[in-house]
Amino acid sequence: MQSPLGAVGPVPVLSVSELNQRLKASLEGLFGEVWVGGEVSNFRVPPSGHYYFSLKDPRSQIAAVMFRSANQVLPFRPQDGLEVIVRGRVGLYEVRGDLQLYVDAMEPRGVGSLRLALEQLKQRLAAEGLFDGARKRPLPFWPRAVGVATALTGAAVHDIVTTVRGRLPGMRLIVRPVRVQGRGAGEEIVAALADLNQISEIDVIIVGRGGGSLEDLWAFNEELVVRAVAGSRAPVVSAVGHEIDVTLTDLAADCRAATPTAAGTLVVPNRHELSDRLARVSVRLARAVRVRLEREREQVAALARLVRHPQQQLRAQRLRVDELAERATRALDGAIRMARERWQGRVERLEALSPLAVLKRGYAIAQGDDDGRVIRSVREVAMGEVLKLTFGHGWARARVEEKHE
Amino acid sequence: MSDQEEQPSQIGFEQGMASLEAIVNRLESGELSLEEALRAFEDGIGLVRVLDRKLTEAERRVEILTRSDEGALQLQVAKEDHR
Repeated sequence: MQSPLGAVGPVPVLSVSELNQRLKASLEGLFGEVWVGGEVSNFRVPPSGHYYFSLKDPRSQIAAVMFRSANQVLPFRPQDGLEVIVRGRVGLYEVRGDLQLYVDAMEPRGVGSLRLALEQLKQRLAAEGLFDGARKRPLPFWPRAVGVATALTGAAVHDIVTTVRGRLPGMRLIVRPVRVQGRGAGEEIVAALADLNQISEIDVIIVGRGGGSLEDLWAFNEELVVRAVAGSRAPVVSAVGHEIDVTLTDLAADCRAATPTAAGTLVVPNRHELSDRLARVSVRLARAVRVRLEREREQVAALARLVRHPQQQLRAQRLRVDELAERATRALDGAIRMARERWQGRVERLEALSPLAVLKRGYAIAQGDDDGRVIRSVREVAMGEVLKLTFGHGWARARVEEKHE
Repeated sequence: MSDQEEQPSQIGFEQGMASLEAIVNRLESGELSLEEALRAFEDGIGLVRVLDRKLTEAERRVEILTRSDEGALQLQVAKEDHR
C-alpha cells in the first residue's frame, strides 16, 4: 500500500470535518476566555443583527463576530477605526475553517462606553436638526403658569420655587414629580412633559435636577427624553445643574440654565424691575398732564388779559379748567398714594410733580407778564419788569425793584 | 381655573404697559385737547392700578400634578415646605 505523499508507513487520513473539529477543540482548550485590544475594521451588520468585523493592530488582524444577543446590550455602536478592548474566545467556524474571535463584551478604549454612546447619539440627533438654533422658541415674558418636571425631594425644586416666588409671588407653579435617575427615570420624565403640556395655562416648562456624575445625569441623555423635550408644546428650559457635561436635553431645550435657580430667573420677570418701570411711566404720565394743564391755565390767563368783555364766557372757561384740574389732582393723589404704599421711596415722588401741590405748600410761579415765560433765574428779569406771580390760590402782578445773584 | 376670576384683569402686563406708554406718548405730544388729555390721563391711571395689582398679587401655593390610579390628571396644593 502506498503511503500518501511520501509518508513512511500507513497514516490515518482525517476528513476535513475531523480536522476542523480537532482544531476547534484544541483552540478552545488552549485559550479559553481572552481579552484582546485592537482597532475595529470592516465593521458590518447583516440583517441577522450580528456584528461582523476584524480586529487589527499594525501587524495583523483577526476576524471577529459579536452575536446579536451580546451586542444588544452595548450602549454604543462600534465603527471602523474605533479602538476597543473585547472579551471573547477564539474559535473556529468549522463550515469554512475560518478562525474567529467570538466576542461577548466590548468597551471602547480611552473613552468610557457611556461617553462614546452619548457622542454617537448626539451626532445622530444633531444630523436630524434637533439641536438647531432655528428650532428654539423664545420664552414667554409672563407665563400664565410655570410647569416643573423634577424630583420632589431634591434641592432643585426648592431652588426653582424660591426663585420664582422671589421674583413674582403671584406666579402659578405646577410641579410634576419624577425620578430623575435610575432605571425608568427617562420614561417618567417623558410622561411628566406630556402631562404638563396638557395643562393649557402652562406656558413654559422647567425640566431638570441638581448636578451629578455623567451616570446620574444619564436620563437627560436618553433619546426618548431628548425627543420629548424637542417636541414639547410649551418651551422648555433645561436645568440639569452641571457646567461641564452638557446633556442632550440641554441641547434640545429652548433655553439652557446652568442651575435650577438660573432656570427660575429665566422663566418669570422680576416684579421689582417692572415696578420701577411702571413707576417711571407713571411719573411721565403725571408730568405730561401737568404740562398740559399748565398750558391751559396760561391760555386762559392770556385770554383774560386780552379780552375784558365777554366776562361770563371767560368765567365759564376758567371754571372748566379748574374743574378739570381738580379731577387731575384727585387722580394724581391716587397715584401718589399708591406710589407711597407700594414703592416706598424707590420712586421719584409723584407729589413733587403736581404744580398744585407745590403751590399749596407756599411756593409761587413767576412768569413774564407779557410773554408768560417761566422765570427760573434772576438773570431772566430786568429791573422794573412786571412779573406775574401765581400762588396756590390766585395770582398777582409784581414789579422787579431789586436784583441779587 | 377657579381663581381666574379673582384676577383684576386678563390683559397681559406687557400689553398693558404698551398701552400705558402709548397714552403717555400721546399726552406728551401735546396734540390732545384738554378733555382728551384728561380722559387719557384717567385711562392711564386706571392702567397703572391694574398693572400694579398684577405685580403685587399674593403669593400662590405650589401645585402638584399627579395621575390618579385610573390615570386621570389631578392637581393638589403642595404641603409646604417641599424639600
